[in-house]
Amino acid sequence: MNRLRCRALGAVLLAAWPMLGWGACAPLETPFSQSAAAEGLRAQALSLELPPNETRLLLGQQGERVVAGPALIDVAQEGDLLPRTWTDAVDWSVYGAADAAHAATVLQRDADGRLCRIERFRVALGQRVSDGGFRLAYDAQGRLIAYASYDTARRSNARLAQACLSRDAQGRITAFHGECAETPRLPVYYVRDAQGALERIIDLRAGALGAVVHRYGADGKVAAVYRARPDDSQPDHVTAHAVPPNDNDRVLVVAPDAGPALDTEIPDEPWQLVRVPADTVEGDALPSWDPAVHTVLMQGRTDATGKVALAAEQVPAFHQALRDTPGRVFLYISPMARYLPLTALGPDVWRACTDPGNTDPKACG
Amino acid sequence: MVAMAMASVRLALRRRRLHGLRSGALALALLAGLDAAQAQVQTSAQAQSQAQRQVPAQAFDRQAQTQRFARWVSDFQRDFRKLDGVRNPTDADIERIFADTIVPGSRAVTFVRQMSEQPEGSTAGGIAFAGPRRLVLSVLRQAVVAGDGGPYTDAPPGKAPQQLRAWYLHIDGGGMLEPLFADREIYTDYRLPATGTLEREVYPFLLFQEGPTLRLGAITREFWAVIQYLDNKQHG
Repeated sequence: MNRLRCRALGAVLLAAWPMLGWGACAPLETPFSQSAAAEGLRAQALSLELPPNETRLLLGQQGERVVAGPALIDVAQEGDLLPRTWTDAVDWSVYGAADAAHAATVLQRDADGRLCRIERFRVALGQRVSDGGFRLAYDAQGRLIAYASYDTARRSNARLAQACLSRDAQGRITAFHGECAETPRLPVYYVRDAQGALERIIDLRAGALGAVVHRYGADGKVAAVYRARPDDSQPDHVTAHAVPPNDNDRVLVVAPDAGPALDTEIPDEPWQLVRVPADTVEGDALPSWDPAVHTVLMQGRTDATGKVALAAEQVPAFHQALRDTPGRVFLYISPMARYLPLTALGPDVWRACTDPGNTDPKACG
Repeated sequence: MVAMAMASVRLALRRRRLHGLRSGALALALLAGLDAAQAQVQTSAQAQSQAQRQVPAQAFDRQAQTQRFARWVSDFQRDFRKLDGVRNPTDADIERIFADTIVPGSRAVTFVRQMSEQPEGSTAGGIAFAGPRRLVLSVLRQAVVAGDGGPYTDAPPGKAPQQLRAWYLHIDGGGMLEPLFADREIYTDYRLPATGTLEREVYPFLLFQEGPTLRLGAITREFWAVIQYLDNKQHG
């Protein structure tokens, strides 16, 4: 009888929620202290503990190791955001609790089997009390678009963390943002071509001044990484450049229409721009320091103030050399000191590169 | 002064290591399949092609087997506590006390005896170290059964061959074990083989004998690698 009533309630709620565009799970704004039964959910008790701020490694459906971290949706260190979270990958059946009254974790699913809530419990003074948990939200097509994690139920709606996803018509993730505002603040954009293949990941979580762009090749691997850094000469401006594959050398970012602005502070000191063979820059690149392998492209002496100054006609040749053999042209200011010059991305190129609407594979130049 | 104190701590640490797991002799004597029963194990490539042909879905009931396994772990722990009351236990003592949890005459008997000979834990320089028994039990408690590795005939030296069954175990580890499972020298390719097929060096497993109760027949180097790794970790 009771179950029937529950089902009827569930059916009413089921009928109401799609109109709100939230599938059958309650919106994230709903207080977490509201009982799951009132939301028409079915409980699955687990003996497993999922402590907040701790990572567990759970058994996946295919036997794989599933990282169950404090965040349900998180930006992967590298690569695409999968359209499923770890909660889908885990084989929950092995963690079932024989005694539901003592379960440390309870999964709450809606009538369609979608996971709506994960509730955590702890024992305090011999009593089992709620210890917060997660809420998940889905779009009208039933695709996960947001989660929030909550503190203890005492502060009924204190959110510890949340994240939202934007998806295109095919359900592919186009943006991740942590604040779930109407217009994403500090998002990560996933730029895709017409077929859905990942072209770029534009990571703006550190703001425009700390933007990082990963460009992907047709093989699905990272082809280049671009990073913005504040411009020393103009505050509030950034210069962006492609990050060299290894970080053995000091980087000298050079504006695309200028020569290197390098101040050695020693007047009349010889400098050299040299090219090294490809096999000398592998690993720790120590063989590339040998003057015997150097091909001198340009040389000169610092001016009276100690600056490395290129003649105007040398500037195009300088940047052409960097383009021809990226990562293999060095600027030596003494036999023991060198820089790896990198051509900065022009402001227009960088704007195109960080524009999520730009799907041109050559947007970053 | 400080330097001297440091040196004595280091010395103490080193001395501890000598009769910890690091002696290695304990491990090597026990691991099933180091010498015997290699012939019946398929080569990795054969098994892989077989795995591809099979449906990836698990026919194996993980939930039921994990419950049986969890019961076995708590019984195994209970038997260890019983063993604490026996001074210098013989193999016969162990077989009697662990009658429900290990196979008599198996490598597991030797394993239990050698674990009981090691200290449960120790402290050196104010640092508490867990002995092998505590490590093994803690790893077993955080394990769930991931799959069935099929039958396995183990021939303990000087004993009759035994028909056992391999059970693949998923061990949580809270993130600590990921470097180990990514180590290609120990697990050539960490993945769960198809139900009923045994592959070496891809997934931790233990050997059990089915019956009215589950009984341990032998531990394996795939499982022991986890214990060794955790032991090395606590010694920094």
